Amino acid sequence: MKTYAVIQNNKVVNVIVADSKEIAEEVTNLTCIEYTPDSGVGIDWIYDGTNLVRPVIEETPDE
Amino acid sequence: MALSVFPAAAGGGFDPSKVTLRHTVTSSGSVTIPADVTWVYAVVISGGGSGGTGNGSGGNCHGGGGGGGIVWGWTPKASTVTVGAGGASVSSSNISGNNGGNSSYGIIRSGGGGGGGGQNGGNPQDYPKSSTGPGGGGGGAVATTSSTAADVKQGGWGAGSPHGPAGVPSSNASAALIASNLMGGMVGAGGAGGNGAYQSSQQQDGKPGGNGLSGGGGGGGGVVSTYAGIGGKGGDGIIGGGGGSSSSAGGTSYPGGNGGNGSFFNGGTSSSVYGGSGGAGYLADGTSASGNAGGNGGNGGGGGGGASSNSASGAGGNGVVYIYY
Repeated sequence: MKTYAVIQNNKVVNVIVADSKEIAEEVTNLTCIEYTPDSGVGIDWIYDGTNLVRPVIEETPDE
Repeated sequence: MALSVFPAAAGGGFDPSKVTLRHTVTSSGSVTIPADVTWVYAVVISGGGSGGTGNGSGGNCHGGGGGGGIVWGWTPKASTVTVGAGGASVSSSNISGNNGGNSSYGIIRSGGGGGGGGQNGGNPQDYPKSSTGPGGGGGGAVATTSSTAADVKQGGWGAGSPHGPAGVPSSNASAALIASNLMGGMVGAGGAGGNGAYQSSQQQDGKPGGNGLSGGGGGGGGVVSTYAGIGGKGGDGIIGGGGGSSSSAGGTSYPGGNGGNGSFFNGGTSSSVYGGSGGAGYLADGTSASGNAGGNGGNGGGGGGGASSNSASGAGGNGVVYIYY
């Protein structure tokens, strides 16, 4: 069992478990990229066409 | 003769005597439902959120992840199942945990639990409310080693329709108010995450995650000068939230928060360690924290524990889908 990032418009919209990339893409009808659970990949990460990249988050200043 | 008739029980309710568990699905893929079955009953559980983690300076204590959402009901049969993954562990400085992945079958969807706070606690995944499973919110954090009231971060929302209450915002409150009056996450369909804590003159414990169908993550314990506190316990529910992490101060060590207990399994425990423990999943116990690292949430959506000192947070447990007919 492997973990896949589901990609839509170059963004990770879900993370799922599946036995293969083919199955993951058949179920979601979207491009899926395998990742390792210790990589820190999560929803809202960016897919640049090659790698999954953590988005830059601007921390909101406390009021 | 048909294998099932919809509805199977008067009023459309679920009568276990009329149906049988046919599929326990722990990995996305296809399922084969007999041609003469048109409706099935499904229990859909999403992935739990992972805990957050802090930097290596010892003071940052972070929230646990919320439990994955759980939804059940009748649905027209479908040929595929999506099983959400647990939020992946994180180990960089001041990084929030990841939300768990969404699970779905037919018209039933459940949202992943919120990741524990690196800043504010994460909110659960937000499907359309009519079909959303209420995942627990991630716990809040205490963001810096020189914490002030403004550094205390609120827990994430509990989900549901309407949303459950969040951990109480604390950035504009006085330190004394935060310490003495503010509650942690509250009961809801998905429990809200607990707040981090701040108090300049006494022990300061992270607030517990709210109880709910899916428990919220516990908040991180505070650290100010010679005072610190224990991490907040993950909320209890059918699925448990992860515990918040803790630290030491003034020569005293404070343990991380225990994982929330579930209906069938138990959360991990954090005696004498700083990491928060994993919450119980629908399929397994949460694991106990080890040192500064958080414990993993149990499979079946348990929330992962928060971590201290740049260690790895606990991953959320993967989801699962049950299909009856």
